Amino acid sequence: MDIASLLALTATFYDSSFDVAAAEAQLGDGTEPVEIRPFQLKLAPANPAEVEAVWLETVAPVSPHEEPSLTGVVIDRAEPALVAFQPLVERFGPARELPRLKPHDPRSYQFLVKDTPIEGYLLLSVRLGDEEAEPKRVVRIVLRRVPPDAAAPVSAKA
Amino acid sequence: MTAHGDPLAPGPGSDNVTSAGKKQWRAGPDSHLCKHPVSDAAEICKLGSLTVKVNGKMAVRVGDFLTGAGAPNAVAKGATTVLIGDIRMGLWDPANAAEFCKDMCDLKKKWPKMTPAERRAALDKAVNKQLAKSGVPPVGINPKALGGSTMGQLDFQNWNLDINESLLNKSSLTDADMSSLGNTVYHEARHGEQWYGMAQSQASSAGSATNLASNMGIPQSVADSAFANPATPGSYGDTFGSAMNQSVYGADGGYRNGVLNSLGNTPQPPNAYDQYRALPEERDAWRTGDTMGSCKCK
Repeated sequence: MDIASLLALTATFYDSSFDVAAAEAQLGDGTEPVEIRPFQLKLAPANPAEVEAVWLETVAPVSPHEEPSLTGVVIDRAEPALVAFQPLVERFGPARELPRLKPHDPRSYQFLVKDTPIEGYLLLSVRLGDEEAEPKRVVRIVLRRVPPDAAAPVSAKA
Repeated sequence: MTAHGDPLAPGPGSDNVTSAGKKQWRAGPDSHLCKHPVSDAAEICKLGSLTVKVNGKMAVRVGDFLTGAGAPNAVAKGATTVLIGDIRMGLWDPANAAEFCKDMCDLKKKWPKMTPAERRAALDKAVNKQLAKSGVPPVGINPKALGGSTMGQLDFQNWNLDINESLLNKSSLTDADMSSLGNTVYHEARHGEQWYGMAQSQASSAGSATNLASNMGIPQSVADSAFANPATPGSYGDTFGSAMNQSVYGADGGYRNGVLNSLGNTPQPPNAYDQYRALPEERDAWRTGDTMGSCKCK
């Protein structure tokens, strides 16, 4: 996945027409997803050589919706994606680093996604050692968006 | 007196609460200037008693860590006639640990006849039974190729507890396997309890569940739950969540990040691992996981 593919994915994800069924069709291999915990489905990826797993996150249906609303997609890469951060900074503004739990965990950088039909944030986890590199090897891509009837996140605390 | 050999100073300690005639120390406002081995680095306690507070701050006791730029220190001597303890809650509660131990022993017995999926389901049930007591949304149990000797780890971004899939595929477990698995799962589940506590402690200031999810990088459904169940100010949960939050997302986050980074340096600084173990969330998770040390299957 390159930067163009990532930006295309964000354009798709932050549009209201992208729902659970569309995510399954685009990112899954067609087999039935597995519920790992409430509000989370694990998809077998369409391209297992590059993607280890795809997770869909939902929240309970909000009227008038009858199905759980898609709020997140998490893509764990089997093969790190080379992603240039500068175009993302130009598109979304500067990223902030989120805490990690373990010393060996990759560092994660969050971009707030604004000016899209649905707002939210993009979180990219970078392989250790690539923090200063450009492009960076990204091992996880998280796209999250606000649920129906909720307000967009107003700010990210530094 | 500290483990490094200096008297606790300058403090100042509480103005209006004394223990055995000495000003009672508090986590946060009171600091110690350590002179060993060479520096005058200020050290403070970041995790004291969760249930006894002095002037609104956690009381500091013998055994509590003092951390700063150098090697972690500890309070080594204190009042011998005043004992300040903790009511252990959540996974740290010995009754909950004993129940989890029993579930793990049952699992060990049934393990050879179970499929990997059944083992995963049994772990899910055992872990989430304990987490539910604190109102923590269920974590997913996710089989994953973790490599090396890592048995499991919390993935808070995904709200999953990753379990080494090679372990789930083993036809039987030795006592050592089970002991290690129980300790690891309990330790990592405690991190889940901490992360949810942090979310609850941030909930009242976040403004919305969406902000909470964004600020912490956690799934919306978990943020929704925490936002609907914020910590009651001054409660045990608030004290616990706030202490963890201060270390991870709050003012001490920079120090914590530096400690985590230093563990990856070559050569590793001599105090790096001790500093890591003294971080409030690690100290708390280790002591919780270690309650499994007394877990013996019949």
